[in-house]
Amino acid sequence: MRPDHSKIDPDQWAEALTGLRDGLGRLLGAPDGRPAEDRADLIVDNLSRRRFLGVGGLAVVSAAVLAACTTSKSKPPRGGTSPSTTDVETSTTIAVDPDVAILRLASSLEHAVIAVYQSASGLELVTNKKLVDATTYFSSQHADHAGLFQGLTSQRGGQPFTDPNQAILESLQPRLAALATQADVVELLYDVESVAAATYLSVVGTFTDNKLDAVTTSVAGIEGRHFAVLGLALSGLPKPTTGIAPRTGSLPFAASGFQTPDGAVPPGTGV
Amino acid sequence: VDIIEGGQAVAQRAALTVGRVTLALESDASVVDDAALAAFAASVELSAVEMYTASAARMTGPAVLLAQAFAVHHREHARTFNAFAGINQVTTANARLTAAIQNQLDASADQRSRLMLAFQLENQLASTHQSLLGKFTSPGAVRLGASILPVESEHAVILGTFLGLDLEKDLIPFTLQPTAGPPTHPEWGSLDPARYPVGG
Repeated sequence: MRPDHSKIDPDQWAEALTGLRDGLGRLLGAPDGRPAEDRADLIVDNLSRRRFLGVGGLAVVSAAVLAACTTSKSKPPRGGTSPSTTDVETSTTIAVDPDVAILRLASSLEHAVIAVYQSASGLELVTNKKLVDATTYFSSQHADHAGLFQGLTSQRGGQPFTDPNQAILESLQPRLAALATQADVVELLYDVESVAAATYLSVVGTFTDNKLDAVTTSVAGIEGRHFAVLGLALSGLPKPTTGIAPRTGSLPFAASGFQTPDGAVPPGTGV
Repeated sequence: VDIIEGGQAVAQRAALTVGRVTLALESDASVVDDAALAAFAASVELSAVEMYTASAARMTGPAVLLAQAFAVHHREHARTFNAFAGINQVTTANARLTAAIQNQLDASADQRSRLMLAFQLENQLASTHQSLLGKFTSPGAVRLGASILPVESEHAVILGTFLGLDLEKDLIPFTLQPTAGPPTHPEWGSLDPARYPVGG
């Protein structure tokens, strides 16, 4: 059932917008003042740092341990800086097609996201019908994404990764175990969608087949849409969600105006 | 020589040396194409700024805050695309797109219709960036477009939610065909640079 926008009291909206206004205050007051050239450098520098992936047609893949989003307290602010806890890394070197390695990470990530949605759903903490429907729909879209990446892996002669990424799931286990309320679930899913979008941005520009940039970004766009829906529920917009107290730290959009790779799953993690 | 490292290189393409890299930029068609495409992207972003600026003056309640915030985002997007546009950079909005938007704004009777216009434009901008991703040759420009597309998608969802639109039918209605490429929406066509030329 669609909400009746016309019956919402503007004052009620304004009250619900407290969190949004806090975020916007920072945005409107100081849109960081960084010259466009510096911002472009920032974006490109991030890309350059990831160039180590492609070495003579081979990929140097780190078996990394995901530390991002281990706890809600340590989650990286979207559009902000990553905490140092994301810097855990290192070890095995293997030779694979670099595009296939990224596609396998992508499908493993999608399966991990699906597993999180399913685990959360099994707890039956989400009681709001619209949220139940939304999360069910999002999970089905993640299954589509996994299928997309698996198909692309096969097309390139790789072995599709069809299981949830265990490194990601293990890192999320403490938060899954601590879920106690509807708000906890929505916040976890919000963070997971943020990590997925960040991860896709982090690999754009590193593919040897640049058609994959467009495909990956299109998926990131959908994760962004999921993120926005969940952020709206957490922010209490356009009106508070039953059972979720509006909060200030979960804006439904990237405050900086740009998706960033902050919090991305490092290359090679769990695959 | 990797001449397409990013905005700085393209922005200063008249120079032969950028940082530690020696460039032959004037003879490289791909850089020129990227610069022109970036200028187009900047111009349509500036049209979005103008739309929100005009709309905000005729909005009430939380919608004003959203319009102001999204205008800031689009201005930042335009500035950053301009860094890639080099000598092609634009300081004014896309004239034809702005005219089309203005016609719709003039015809809008209420806040809902203005929010709907914004919702449609955000979706079209996201589609436009998706389309440009397949045309940019510079990894930096591709990466820039990729960093903007999700945010404009978020804008669309937020506006659509304020409008009370349907999640599956209107907000995230994509269908995926794994062998056919990225997801699409038939009603959210991208803006064509030929139809909305820079300076046109």
